[in-house]
Amino acid sequence: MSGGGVRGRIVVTVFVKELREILRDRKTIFLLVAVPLLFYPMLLLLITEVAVAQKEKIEQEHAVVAVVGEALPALVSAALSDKGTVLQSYAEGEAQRALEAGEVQAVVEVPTGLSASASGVGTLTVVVRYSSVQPLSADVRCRIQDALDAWAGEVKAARLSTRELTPAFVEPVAVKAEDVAPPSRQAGSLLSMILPMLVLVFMIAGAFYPAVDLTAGERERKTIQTLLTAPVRPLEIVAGKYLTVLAVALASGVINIASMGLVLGHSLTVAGGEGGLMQGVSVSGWDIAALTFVVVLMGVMLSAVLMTIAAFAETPKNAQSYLSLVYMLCLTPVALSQIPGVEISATTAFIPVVNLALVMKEILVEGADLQSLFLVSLSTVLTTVVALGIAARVYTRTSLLVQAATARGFFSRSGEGGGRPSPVATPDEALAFVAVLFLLLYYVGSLVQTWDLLWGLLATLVGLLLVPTLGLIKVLKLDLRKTLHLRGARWPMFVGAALMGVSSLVWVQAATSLFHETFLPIPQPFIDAMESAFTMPTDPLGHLAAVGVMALAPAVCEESVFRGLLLSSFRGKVPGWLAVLVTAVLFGLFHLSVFRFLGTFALGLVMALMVWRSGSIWPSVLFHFLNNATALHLGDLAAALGLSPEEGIPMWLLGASVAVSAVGFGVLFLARPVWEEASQSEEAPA
Amino acid sequence: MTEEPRVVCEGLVRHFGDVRAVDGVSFTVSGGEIFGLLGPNGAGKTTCLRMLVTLLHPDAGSARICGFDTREAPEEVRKRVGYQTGDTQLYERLTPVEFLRYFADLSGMRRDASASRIAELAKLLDFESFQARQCGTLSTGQKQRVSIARALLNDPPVIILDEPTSGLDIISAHFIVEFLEQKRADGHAIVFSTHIMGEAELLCDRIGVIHNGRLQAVDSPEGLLRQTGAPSLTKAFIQLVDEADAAREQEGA
Repeated sequence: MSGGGVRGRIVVTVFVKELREILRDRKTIFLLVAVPLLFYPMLLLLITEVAVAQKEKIEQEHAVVAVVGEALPALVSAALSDKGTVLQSYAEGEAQRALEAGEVQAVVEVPTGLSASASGVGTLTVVVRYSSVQPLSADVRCRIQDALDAWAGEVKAARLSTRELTPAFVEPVAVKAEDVAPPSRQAGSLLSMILPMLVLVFMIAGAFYPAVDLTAGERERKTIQTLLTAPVRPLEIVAGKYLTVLAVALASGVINIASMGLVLGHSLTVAGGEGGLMQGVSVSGWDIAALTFVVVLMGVMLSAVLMTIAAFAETPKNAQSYLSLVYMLCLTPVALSQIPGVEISATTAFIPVVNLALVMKEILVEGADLQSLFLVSLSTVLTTVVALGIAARVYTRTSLLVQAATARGFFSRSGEGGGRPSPVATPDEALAFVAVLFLLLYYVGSLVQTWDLLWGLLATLVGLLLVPTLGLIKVLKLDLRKTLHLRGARWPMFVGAALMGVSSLVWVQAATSLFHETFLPIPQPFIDAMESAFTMPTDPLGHLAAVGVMALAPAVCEESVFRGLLLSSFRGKVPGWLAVLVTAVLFGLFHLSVFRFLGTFALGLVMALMVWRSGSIWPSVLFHFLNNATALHLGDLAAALGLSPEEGIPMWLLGASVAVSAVGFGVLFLARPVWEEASQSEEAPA
Repeated sequence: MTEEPRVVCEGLVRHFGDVRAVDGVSFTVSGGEIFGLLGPNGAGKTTCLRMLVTLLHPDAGSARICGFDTREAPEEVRKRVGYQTGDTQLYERLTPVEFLRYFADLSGMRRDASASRIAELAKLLDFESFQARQCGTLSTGQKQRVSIARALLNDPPVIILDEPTSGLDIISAHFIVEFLEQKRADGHAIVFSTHIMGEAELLCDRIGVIHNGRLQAVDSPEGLLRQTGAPSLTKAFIQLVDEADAAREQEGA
């Protein structure tokens, strides 16, 4: 089903047919055109009118204020009663009761001598009691404040004039800030915070339905079988369908943004154009062209990604779940790109979604730049081509044409022996469990560790990792040995693991620091915190405790979760490389820091590979222990070798560490794992 | 050198996971011949036909249509096969004419040629009266006729039909049976699967009885009766299936 080029005629035929079908669906037209065109004007109209009406209603409403103590100065009383506020004298306790009962909207406690304070020198405090959750009460508080401020101004002027002073006497300095950025760019900066998000949301909303319907939908309706018996190539079908999704996504983006723009523009014109969002936005024609181009690129990429992901789904329902996830994943980079200081660069230009959001920001704030546009186009075209290539392969994958016969059992616990529960967790159970542990660690673990770092860490490792893992094994009635890979390994495995355990830290550290220096500098406070966490106590007992908690406990507890429960759940379900990769990524994420991810990910790869190959957790436990212990003694080792931390890692040490690790790796992977030799007797019933 | 039969399959094997859905199936079909694949549900009929029309790749063995290998030249094969299944669905929001024109365009027919061909098929398969209605509003029998028209658009030398009469009322089913007889007379090679004995007996020049993915017997309807000594094709079929199950049990033991 492969081979040959893509014939434009066929692509256009598919595109025209799909578009015709989509457009005949009234639901689509309604959602795509009618809703945005009607929704925004209605929404704005409604909000404006209700808000205005509500505000006026409150401002004109009569309110009662309880005055405790002396009467308010005459000027204040007059100002308040002008605004429909009635003042009533109350005894102190009675006033409080009346406020709580809602009989009065505020209580003013007037200190003795307030009316005469023009002749005084000090500050008297007027207490205003009100309720911020009751709109009228809150408004009355403002009325009182305004009236008192106005009166206080006059008192101040009177005090100054009796001493023959000017108001400048009490205002030694005035700050006047002047923004030199042109007003158009100021507005552009504001717009750059919301426009990328809006474009993304509207385009995904538009592409969502066609992406699902043209892939998983066609599969469910079985018309895909008919289509594939025609003499057409998968890539031609996918390209035609892609153009349809793209057309709908672009239409959705354009209609939505145009409708919003119209509504805002109209309402500002009606309101006299004072200080609105769009006020002063005057981007040049070139900028508008560039912006349009980037919006189209966004559609080009999103449509391809959404369609490719949907093509993986067996049913439209699954496709919708997948796409909802993609939607959330796309929102994150857009939000990140809005952080001030995150800008388009040679690196960020190649991160999908982020690059488009950043280039939009650049156009709006600084003006369009050809270099960035070029890089972003290149990256978008590459992403799109790769995505469509994958879609063409996946979409026509025959295993998905005949679903029932090839259910892969990813989510089922029944083993091959006819419904017998699997001895290990299924991938979905293991992943859900790790997700729960992640949340526990985030909310509980960090809290526990603020009380006491060392013992908090131990409590976290045992209480939040090891005990729940054993609990899950008990609850799901899993096989403890198989789930945790508790089988013996031959001695070369341990030799290999030990060699790698003492040497890996150096090259992992060198590689990660190179990466971070180049791309993502680690902030100094983070480095200091890590160093202080790894500072060893000098007394022997404290030393032993630190090694136990920071090297031995992680080696046992973390291994049981990641290289035990999680990794074993993948056996026989997914290819080895994927199992190792997923385990390592999750292990990296588990350390809850973007600055620690790379190093822990690399170590996670090594350990998962070790266990996947040997079938035993023990080499990995040894590796983990030795690696952490080395990290704890890094300062001592450096001192012993006469190295200063400022110089970094000398080449000879790096070379030695790579060499020792390589030897260890060789020993580990050349040795035959126990399970290969003994697979016969292993599987025999005990 | 004599011309190769239009449909040739040799030792076709296809697994789904651990299940051997098709297990070494071989047969040939020549022009002017109707070959019936007869078997209970799950016997491997559909998988077999899907491999013939390039929807599935065989794990082992090969199939050729008009001399073109299904793996090496799938496009050439698809140009020469009209394939239709009992559960073939149409595009609900297209009319039969638009639907057929779409497939004519995809197979590279010229617009004027396809227009006259569609008109011809509409007359032949009797769907002129509803050709302008959207397919979503048609009955099963009406859809089936449009679907068969799609399979015959470019007048392919080989017609492969998977349970073409399933879910049809007697009149519609009879219509299709008569139509197939006519196509045989025109010299087409026809392969179709069914589990309806009467249909097979009436139509087929040769029948392949398939069970557990294997062809248990290939012969003319009369030949099958002779071979099994059974009084009817139904009895012969049941006998062959039982024998196959018994043989399999012995193998397993």
